[in-house]
Amino acid sequence: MDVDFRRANDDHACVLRLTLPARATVGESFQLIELCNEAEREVGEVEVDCSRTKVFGPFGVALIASVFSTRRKSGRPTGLTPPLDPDASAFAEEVGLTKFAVGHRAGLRTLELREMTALDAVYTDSVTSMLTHGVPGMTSENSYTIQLCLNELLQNVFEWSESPIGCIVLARWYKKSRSVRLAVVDRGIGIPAALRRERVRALHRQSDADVIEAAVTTPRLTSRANQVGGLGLKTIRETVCSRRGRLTVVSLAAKLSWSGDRLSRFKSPPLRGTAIEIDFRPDAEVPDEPGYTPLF
Amino acid sequence: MARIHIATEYQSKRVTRSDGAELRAAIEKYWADAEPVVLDFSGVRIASVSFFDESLGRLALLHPVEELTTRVKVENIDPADRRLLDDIVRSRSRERTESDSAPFPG
Repeated sequence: MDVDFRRANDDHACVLRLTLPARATVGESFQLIELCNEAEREVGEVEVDCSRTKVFGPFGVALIASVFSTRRKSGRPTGLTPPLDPDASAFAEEVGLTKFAVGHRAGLRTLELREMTALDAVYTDSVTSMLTHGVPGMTSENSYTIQLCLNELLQNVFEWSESPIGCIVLARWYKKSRSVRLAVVDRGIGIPAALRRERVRALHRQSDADVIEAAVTTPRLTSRANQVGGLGLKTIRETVCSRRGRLTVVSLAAKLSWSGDRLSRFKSPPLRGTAIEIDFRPDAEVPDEPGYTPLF
Repeated sequence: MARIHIATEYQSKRVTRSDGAELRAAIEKYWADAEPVVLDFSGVRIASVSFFDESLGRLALLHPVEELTTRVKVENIDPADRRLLDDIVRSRSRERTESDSAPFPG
């Protein structure tokens, strides 16, 4: 267990207190997943302690929120100790983490943390519309890629993840880097299991990381038996990486991150489900394909 | 000439593969008509690989692209949607051609 985690059993209330590290971003996925796993193993009350956390990212917030959803679904009480750091505290409020922890649902016209149980075009329209109207310099054209990525990520969750909580979604705009970050976390069977189940292209004999790499890079690879598919994750990677962004996929025991043409693999404790974060500049210029002529 | 107004007919059901399959079934109803079926995308942005792939992408796997573009006309589509749709149809059309020209196994 990492030193950033502190397990303390309160003698009187028998609450398992799990302390988050100083940073709760995609970079700390290893520690955060260990925390999730410990929280989900615990039958009694759990207190997720963010008091020491100074920096949150969409991945970290969505993953923590998934713990609340999972435990709530099985009727297990879970509390949240808010961050002491004023910036982190403001962020937790702004993204709706503190409200989420006590079971409040986000309204439609907000970018707050959201638990989704079905894919609805109204939501993805609303997110892109809010970004188009609320972010200086963001145009309808630029926001297209955000809507595209969000639709594909959600389509994947609801088509095959079998996640009992649906998924947790968080979209954030970062003014300084002019980038958007989207995190989608489900607690289903995971990308590798979905592809192995259909015994697609002998992937059942490969590691989780190899299967995820194939799912993201191989055209036409799909878990859909005898049907079309396999363009979604590949399109997301191309969209994000062509805009100098980063795509991170954590599923079961693998974590992979694409940035430009570079793929990095990281050690990861097993996560039940899939957690994805994309981070890119929607306004980054992408060279036009030469000789393009419309078909329709 | 049959006309399908996507925003009216599909409302918010225009993202998923099952939504795309419904559009494909609607197009196939008019496939034998002398006139092409018109898909009118006014007032709506799709931004979904799944929807386009399951509707027109899948038709591009079944029919030559020349036949598809003769039988289906697209109007008032968002430029980015047009680009995405074209990419998907071209990709599926290549897949169709490759499978047609693949040697017999064994």
